[in-house]
Amino acid sequence: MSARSSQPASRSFIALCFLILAAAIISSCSLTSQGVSTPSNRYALVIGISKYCPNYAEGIYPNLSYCDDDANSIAALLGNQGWNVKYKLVNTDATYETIKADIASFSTIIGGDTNASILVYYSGHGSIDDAGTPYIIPQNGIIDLGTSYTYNNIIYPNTQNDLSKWITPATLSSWMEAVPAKNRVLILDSCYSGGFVKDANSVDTSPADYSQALGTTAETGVLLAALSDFNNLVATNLASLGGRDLVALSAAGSNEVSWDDGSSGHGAFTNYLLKAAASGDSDGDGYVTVAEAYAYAKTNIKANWNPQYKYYYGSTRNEWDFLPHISGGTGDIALYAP
Amino acid sequence: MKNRTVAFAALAVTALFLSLSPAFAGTSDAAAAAQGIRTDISGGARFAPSYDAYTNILPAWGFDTTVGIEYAMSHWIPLRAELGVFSIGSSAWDASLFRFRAFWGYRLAALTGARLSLGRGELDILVGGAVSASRFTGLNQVTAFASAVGELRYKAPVTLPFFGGLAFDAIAAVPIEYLYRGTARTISVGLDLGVVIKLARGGAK
Repeated sequence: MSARSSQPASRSFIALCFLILAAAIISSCSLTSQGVSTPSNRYALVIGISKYCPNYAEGIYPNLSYCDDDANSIAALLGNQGWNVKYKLVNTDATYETIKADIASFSTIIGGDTNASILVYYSGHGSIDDAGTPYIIPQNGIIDLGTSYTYNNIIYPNTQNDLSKWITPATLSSWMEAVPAKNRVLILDSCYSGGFVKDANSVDTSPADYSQALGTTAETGVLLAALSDFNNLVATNLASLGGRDLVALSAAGSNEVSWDDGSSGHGAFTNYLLKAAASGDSDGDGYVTVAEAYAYAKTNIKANWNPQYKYYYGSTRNEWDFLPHISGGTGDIALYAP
Repeated sequence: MKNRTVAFAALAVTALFLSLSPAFAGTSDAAAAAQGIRTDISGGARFAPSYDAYTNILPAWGFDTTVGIEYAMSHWIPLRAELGVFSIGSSAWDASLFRFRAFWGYRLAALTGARLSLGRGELDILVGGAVSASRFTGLNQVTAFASAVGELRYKAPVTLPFFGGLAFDAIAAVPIEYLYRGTARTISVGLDLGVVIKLARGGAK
């Protein structure tokens, strides 16, 4: 075929190129948050427990140092970022019963509004049992026995765990899923909180215990992770059009601890969660989503916290380093929406 | 925004690739009638809206690049295999400030269909299925999903006069894909441009 005879086809082809470029230019302008106003039906419960034993100072085990500060700061921030903070439970207010009741009351608050969102934030102790079941521990999940012991000239309370008050992922999920909200967000700054993060038809590529000392820092690649459970992933993704997944964000993996950070006055994770409101909008659309907050916190914990706090008191087995995790599922929600 | 920037870059690279690659010159109008194994590379933009049980369709944009190999007979293509890379950006927001996450991944597809003559070129009408390994962009979660695929592909010989008469067999394709993504479904419609890669035995010296 000669060049001359193919001229009409060439012109068509070039025209098609311009058409595609025009479509791309138009698309680049179309997906910002412009035109979407922050709705008023976003409700939050914020929980922070430093004082499990109120008669002892913060930082005296089992008391923590900054969880109540975490809750106060998160509640204030969320209140300015598009959430109605209906409940803030701090220290002795944050019992198993009040947490359960406050989550349940969201159903009444929401009423028949099928477009509402709820958020639960928790900062406090977490634990894991021998079977690998993780827990968050309400204030009345640890009982002060009224006696004490002395270690290194510091007086500590003798305590007993009340396991009936500890909250499992299944329990917390059932409470939140009973609320007829369109969107549900769960954020946990506690040890072993990765156990509350459901993979939801996906595979978590971050290690359950991120440890520089143990060399467990590698994250699995896309193909390897997908092939590890390929048939099951494909089958469940084919079948499960239905309820919207809970969007969960955890400070730590399912087999590691998270930490208070004296230098910031907050939990190490919550410190960056707070800062994400100002610096975490990676796509510049005006909102910081849960996924963007996760990415911001993870990047900064990996770059700033983990190298500095690699070891725990010189041990090579009890490391301070950790990584946040986020749940699977296709959805994302604006966490900070000024 | 980053994804859209990358989409622009992909389009620009594709256009540059099409306009500069001398390896594809010298093809002829016999291409439409050729039989046997053929390979090609293409890329372009994707409009990929998603929906779930709680929200209407939320639009998103992305891009893909695909390498294909097929066995062509006179009036049909018994098997076409595609290996591609794709990236879909975050969707638009719904009224509750929900959106679908961005995701990217690798895609392997198998298609079959008819091969028709149309003008100076060839129109292929293909249907098939694909599986993808996909990561939510920037996150720690990876998944795998299946999709149903349909594709209209038009191949025609093209000469670019302002590049010294550079000639090649060009492809314009409209891939349509329905992605089964757990609690969401995505409909991906694309507009791809590409070239047939001649696996020539010998050539001009």
